[in-house]
Amino acid sequence: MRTGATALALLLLPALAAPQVAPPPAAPRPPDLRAIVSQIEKGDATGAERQLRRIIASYGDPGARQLLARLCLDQKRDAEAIAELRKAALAAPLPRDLGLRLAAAEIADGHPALAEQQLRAVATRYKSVQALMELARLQTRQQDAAGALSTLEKARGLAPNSEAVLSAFAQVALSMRAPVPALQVLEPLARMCPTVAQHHYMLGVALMQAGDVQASTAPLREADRLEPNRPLTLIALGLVLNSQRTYGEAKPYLLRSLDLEPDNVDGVAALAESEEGLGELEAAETHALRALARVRDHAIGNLTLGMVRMKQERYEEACAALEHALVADPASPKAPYQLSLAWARRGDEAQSKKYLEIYRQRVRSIDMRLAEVRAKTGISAGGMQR
Amino acid sequence: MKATLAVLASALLGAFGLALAQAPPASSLLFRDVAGEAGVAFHHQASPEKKYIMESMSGGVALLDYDGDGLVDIYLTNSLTVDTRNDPKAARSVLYRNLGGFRFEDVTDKAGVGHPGWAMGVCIGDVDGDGAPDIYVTGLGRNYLYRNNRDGTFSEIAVQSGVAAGGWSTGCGFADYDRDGRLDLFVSRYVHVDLDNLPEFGKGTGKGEGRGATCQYRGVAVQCGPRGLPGESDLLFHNDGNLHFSEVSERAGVRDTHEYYGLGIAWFDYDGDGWPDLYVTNDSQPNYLYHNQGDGTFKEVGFPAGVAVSEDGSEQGSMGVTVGDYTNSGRPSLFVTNFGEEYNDLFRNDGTHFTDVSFQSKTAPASLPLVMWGTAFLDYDNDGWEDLIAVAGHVYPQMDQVKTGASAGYRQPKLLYHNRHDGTFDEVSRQFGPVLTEKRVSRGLAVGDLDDDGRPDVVVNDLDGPAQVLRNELAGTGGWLTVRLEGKPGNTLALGAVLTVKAGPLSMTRYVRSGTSYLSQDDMRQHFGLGDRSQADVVEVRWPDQSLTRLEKVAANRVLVVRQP
Repeated sequence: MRTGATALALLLLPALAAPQVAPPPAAPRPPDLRAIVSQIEKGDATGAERQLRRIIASYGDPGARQLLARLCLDQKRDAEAIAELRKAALAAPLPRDLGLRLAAAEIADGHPALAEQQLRAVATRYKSVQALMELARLQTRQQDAAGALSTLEKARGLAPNSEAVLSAFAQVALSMRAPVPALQVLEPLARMCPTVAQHHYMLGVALMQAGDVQASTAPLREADRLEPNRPLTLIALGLVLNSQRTYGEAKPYLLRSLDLEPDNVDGVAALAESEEGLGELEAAETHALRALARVRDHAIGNLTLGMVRMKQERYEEACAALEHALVADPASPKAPYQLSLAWARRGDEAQSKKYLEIYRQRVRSIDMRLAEVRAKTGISAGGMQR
Repeated sequence: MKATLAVLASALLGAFGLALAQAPPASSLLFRDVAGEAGVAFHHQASPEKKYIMESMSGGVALLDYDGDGLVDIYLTNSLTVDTRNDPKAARSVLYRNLGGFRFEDVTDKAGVGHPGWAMGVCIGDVDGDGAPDIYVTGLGRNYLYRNNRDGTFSEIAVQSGVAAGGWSTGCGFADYDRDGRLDLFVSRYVHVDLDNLPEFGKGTGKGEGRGATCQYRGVAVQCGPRGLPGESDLLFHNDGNLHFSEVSERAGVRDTHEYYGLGIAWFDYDGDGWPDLYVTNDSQPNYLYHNQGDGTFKEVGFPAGVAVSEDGSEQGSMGVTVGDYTNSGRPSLFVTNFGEEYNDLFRNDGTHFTDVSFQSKTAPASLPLVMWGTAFLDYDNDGWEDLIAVAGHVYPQMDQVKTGASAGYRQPKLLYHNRHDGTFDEVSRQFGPVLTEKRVSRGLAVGDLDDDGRPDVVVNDLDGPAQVLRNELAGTGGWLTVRLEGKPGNTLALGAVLTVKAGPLSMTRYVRSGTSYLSQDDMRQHFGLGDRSQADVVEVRWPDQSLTRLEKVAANRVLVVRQP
């Protein structure tokens, strides 16, 4: 208790030092809390609590409430502590640690708006990177990725070399399919922390998102080397190698991922894609159907099934699968291209042209996106190819 | 993250990666480079650094019997460079006369075909219908038509014939597209180049068209283009007779209004309706397939036919193209060579459409790291099934400084695919020693039997390097038959004719074409391997006018001449 009390007292100091809202001039001044802190340091927590409650009753003093909250927290009386903090926060800004503690409690109690308010207050008042990180997490949980990214941008301003901040920023950017900002932090991050598999993995994914498929292979391989047998890395590698049409190389990674996580639907679908590329149509069909049984609208599952059906000259079924793929992945030109072929083979020129136009629009979009990525990140063009 | 990954891959374009397929080493000798001993001392020239795109794209090779002695001669194109542009004699294209026994003589000066400027490609046709093959050379600035004077010399008549073109011509090929009995000419064109305003190497910041061009490759400064540079339209010249041509591209529907970067061309009747159709490879852009509508016009059907882009919808950097019936189905399929980190396309002709079977046929993986150019179907072992050859070499000498990943470097090996008779191929170059695996920077390729021994030989034109004459010395090959067609006056080379040879269970089809491979011309005589057969049961010729000639029980191992009745 004595040690805990000392720590508690030390924690209090910043709160005391922190600027307080000035009381109305006519109000009586509450007693000096330093004596109570001393009392706590001496191990008389009970007496100190009694004193604090008296002061609170007489003056409603937020400082006393904060100190009482610390005492309660130290004694694992979290509910009482939070109740005091809520009241204290209404009267005056909380110290950084208590503000964060209250925000965590508000999140746990299902009050995200109050938590956000508290985190913003702490972040603004103390330029707290931790508060910004927590706020970004909260925004992410609330599906506000744009807000989270903006918050993390502020955190980057405060701590430009923080691994945690950069990593979080990249994760949020990737979740928003915004590879340019992700790449801007991941490339230095992977160099700063070359032994962290996660950074290389995210760099690989960011490059995939940016469309630089070939460049994404090296960081993913590095992630696999640093942390072997991580299913997500193996699947990402499989996807990247599939998109480079090195299906024979992709397949072993995907088989390994499925050994580790047999029901991973992305892994199963990617395996189907490899098999289709290798001309193993029966296996590709089986795995594509298995993926689609789990996730009916799976983009790769449907695309692969569509490709298989095209080769089987079952064009009507091909169209059905490819239609799903078209919707499931609104950026890819593969499905509309195959649909244009399928309809041409079904003799419907108008439908064929319709999908050809969608294909062309998507190719144009990709070209524009790649040009933007190259301009912003300096990633050089791979020569003649898109 | 899972959800993100699920949609990532399908959003991606682009290709690449994978080491060459390993084949077990063997000691068989297939090709031997006999250029030196045969007297073929040709050395193509280009600037060492290839700072400008037109210094990376030449040259072609044509196999023709220019003097009518029955032996196949060789013509190799050479090109000026930016530094030598003001000296028209700085680059010398060379005509080699075949003396027999694999000996060749340089007859360029006498023939008068040595200096066609910035020469790129070459194709052969008998434009005046006199029975002697004429030579058409494409290039930067203008093209050249060398009319065969039938006395070992040629007269250059491009300007007065109306086929000098202009801009940057690359591929070419003759065909009688309207079946009026006279040979017309198609010319593909590549990039618009202003020699006085060249895009600055590695930057593209010149005053000219270099702005916005791709001038970096993986962080290394390279020549600009073609991406970002303006393209040029293609040209169709109608033969009006009397050695005069009219440009009818627009009217015929083959002008290439998109001005894509045209390179290889292939005239062939893909749907068997008797009218020559046209395929054009475009670098980094969709390829064209023009269906001949039989009324002097064409309809572009590349996309619905499935031959415009790769299977996943990617526009590839297409270079060369060859046509062959590798399935012995009687239908001509297409093989297209592409840029590195892409794959060569094998488009199987399924009758009503084409199917990209590049991976299914196992031809794609070995091609992924390579930038490939000249290519041809050939039955190198005379087993009655068309094999495939393709040559490679990057466009950027700076490649060797680049962290290339899965890409090969500047110099690259050849690929030789052996037909497994089931729609698939084995890549077998490593079985036949260093002549195929040696890394070079090759461009044009042409196939023909230079010594009439029944085994197809190969001639390769390397960029900025010595030509190769690859003599086929494979032992124990099967029987063979080579057929030379003599068409009617006007189309004496019988361009567009389709030959079918049946020998036991084999039924092989060949197509007489002008303009083959990459900027090159295969020997127009058609070669058939007969396996263990000592005769062809049937030789059938469908002539360009759709008349038929049928011969039965034709003895093997000879050159057969068939004249159109």
